[in-house]
Amino acid sequence: MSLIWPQITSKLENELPSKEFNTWIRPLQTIEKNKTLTLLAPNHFVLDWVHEHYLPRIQEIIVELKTVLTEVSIEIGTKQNQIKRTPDLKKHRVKQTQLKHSVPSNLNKQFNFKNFIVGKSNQLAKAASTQVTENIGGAYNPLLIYGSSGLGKTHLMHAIGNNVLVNNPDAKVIYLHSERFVQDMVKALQHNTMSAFKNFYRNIDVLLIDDIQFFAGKERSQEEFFHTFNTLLENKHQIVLTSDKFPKEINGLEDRLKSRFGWGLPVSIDPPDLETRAAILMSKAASVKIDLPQEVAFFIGKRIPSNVRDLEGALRRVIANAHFTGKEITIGFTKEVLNDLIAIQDKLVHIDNIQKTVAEYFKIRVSDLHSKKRTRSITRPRQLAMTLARELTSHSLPEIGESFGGRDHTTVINACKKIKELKETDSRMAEDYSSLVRILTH
Amino acid sequence: MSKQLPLDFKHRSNQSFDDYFSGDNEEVVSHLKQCSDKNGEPFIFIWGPSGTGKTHLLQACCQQTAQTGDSTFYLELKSGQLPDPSILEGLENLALVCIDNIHFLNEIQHHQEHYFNFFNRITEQGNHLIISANGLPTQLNIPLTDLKTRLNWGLTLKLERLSDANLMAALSHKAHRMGFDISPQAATFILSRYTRELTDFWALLNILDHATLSAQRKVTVPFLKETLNL
Repeated sequence: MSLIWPQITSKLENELPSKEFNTWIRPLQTIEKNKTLTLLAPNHFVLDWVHEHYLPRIQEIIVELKTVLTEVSIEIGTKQNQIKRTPDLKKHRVKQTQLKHSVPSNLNKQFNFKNFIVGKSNQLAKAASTQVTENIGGAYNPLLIYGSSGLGKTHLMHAIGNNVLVNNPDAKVIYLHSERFVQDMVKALQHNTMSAFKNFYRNIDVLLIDDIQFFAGKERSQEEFFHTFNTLLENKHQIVLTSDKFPKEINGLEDRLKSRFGWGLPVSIDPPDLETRAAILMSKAASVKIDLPQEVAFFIGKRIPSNVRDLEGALRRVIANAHFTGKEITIGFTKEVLNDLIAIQDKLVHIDNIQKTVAEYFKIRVSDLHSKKRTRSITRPRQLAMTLARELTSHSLPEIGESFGGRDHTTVINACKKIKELKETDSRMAEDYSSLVRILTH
Repeated sequence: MSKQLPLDFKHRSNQSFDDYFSGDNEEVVSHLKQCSDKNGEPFIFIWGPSGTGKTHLLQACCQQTAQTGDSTFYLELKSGQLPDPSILEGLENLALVCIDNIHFLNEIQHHQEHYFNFFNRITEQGNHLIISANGLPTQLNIPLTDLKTRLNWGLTLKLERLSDANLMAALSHKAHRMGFDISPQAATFILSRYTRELTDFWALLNILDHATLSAQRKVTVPFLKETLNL
């Protein structure tokens, strides 16, 4: 670390408003060499601002402090990247880090198959993912996992990558978000290194690309990805993709990509059911050595029905508060800690809202849900609405029955049973259920 | 007796943890300190009404992390003045990034994708992120679900408004750090007649510091009435 820089920042800290100092001075890193102080800014935006507003004052302070420094320059980079580029420093005042193709696999070791909790909502995706690791570039190529945000798509992707590396440590496995692919391509175009870019991406054994819906509208990236995709497939290298919806439904994606993404095996992940939500919570708690009582797991699972990230966030809050206060995790304690979250969730999901949403979804009237009508076009939506009320609210069975035209609580139990059966046998029902949960909880 | 002319030296709030009066928010402060020391949760989301000290705390976090020689970034989102999203480039390489007022992201929706990408990058990099807003992630008008679910993922903590007793204690605490005292009667008078906003306290104390030095008087109710024209 520069010895002079702390003296300079100490002066600036006294001269600048706190926000300004924290925004523009604190992100700077420094290298002091050969009487030159090089300031490293994280990006162009910061570089330009500091250059214009603070560099003259920094130069003045250097003179005031009577240091040995004779020159100050600013460029983009971090100390880690910069050290490697030191020999060129003299010639260029502002430089950009070159695109490096020796990128790491980016895999998060914490995401593996063992800690992926399987339920009905994700068992197919899990089975397909396991198959892929056993037969790379085989029948399931590309494997496309699609579903709403926060349901475990990224977890499965990392698990595939990690498992491949366990079986074959030399395999070239790369996980990246679609944005990174776009960014790398833009950099390659800027630096005239497209052939290196192509060479790199077309020689990967297992390419895992997350959230391909963000390719939408980026035509040049789509074209390049299309070629990468074809080359990998021809060479029987594995591709795994995730998306928030089925490719055909992504606006702004070229038709040829939409069709190719569906060539292998598209599998969906749906919102987890209550039992799976509770199991996920208990597993997450166990991973940080917390023994979460089952009734608390069910309580949180019932109140936070939307997705796994929301569940994890709620659990983090409960564990953090228990650590801080030293209190035991009980339902009462959890209720108190998650008070705000639960209140908002309750506002979002209540029986009236469920009935209105279900009626709109199936294009029937709310009064039909309350009525005695027993035609299938009315009965199914009514059963579905009852099940959603049971899953997403804290109302008791008699209360739910009462809200549906004064029905008995056993009718609600039968409705839940029927919908559970149908979700397993009728993919359309499963899809309707998932869509409604998504609409109601976001 | 003629007035003494004090030197024109303004006390600056250094926005440190020491300078923050936590009151009922001790748990939040404790988690933020741990995060700033790179020990605790890597992503914290703090929320609460204005005047609860979110901005102060984010800057205190930057200060604490910087003490170990690491680089940090404080990004304030202001209504009507959202910075170009290119400001996020490369920030994932810094030890800690604090983003203040993320609720203003509703003003330019296409910026949301950039914040989503930044979130992914900093998480992959393993560096720390603290975000503040005026509501829970669920309540924010952020149509990009991918970003919203990520905001919900971290440790979400609420900052409570200070009670009257704590507001008075905060006022005395800040005055004491500046080298003068405020009696309980004077503090009650300030809260009932002048301001209850923490954000106004610092400016008020600067005025009082200057005035007490100049008049060589203690802070009493009559002195406050005279100085603040109440």
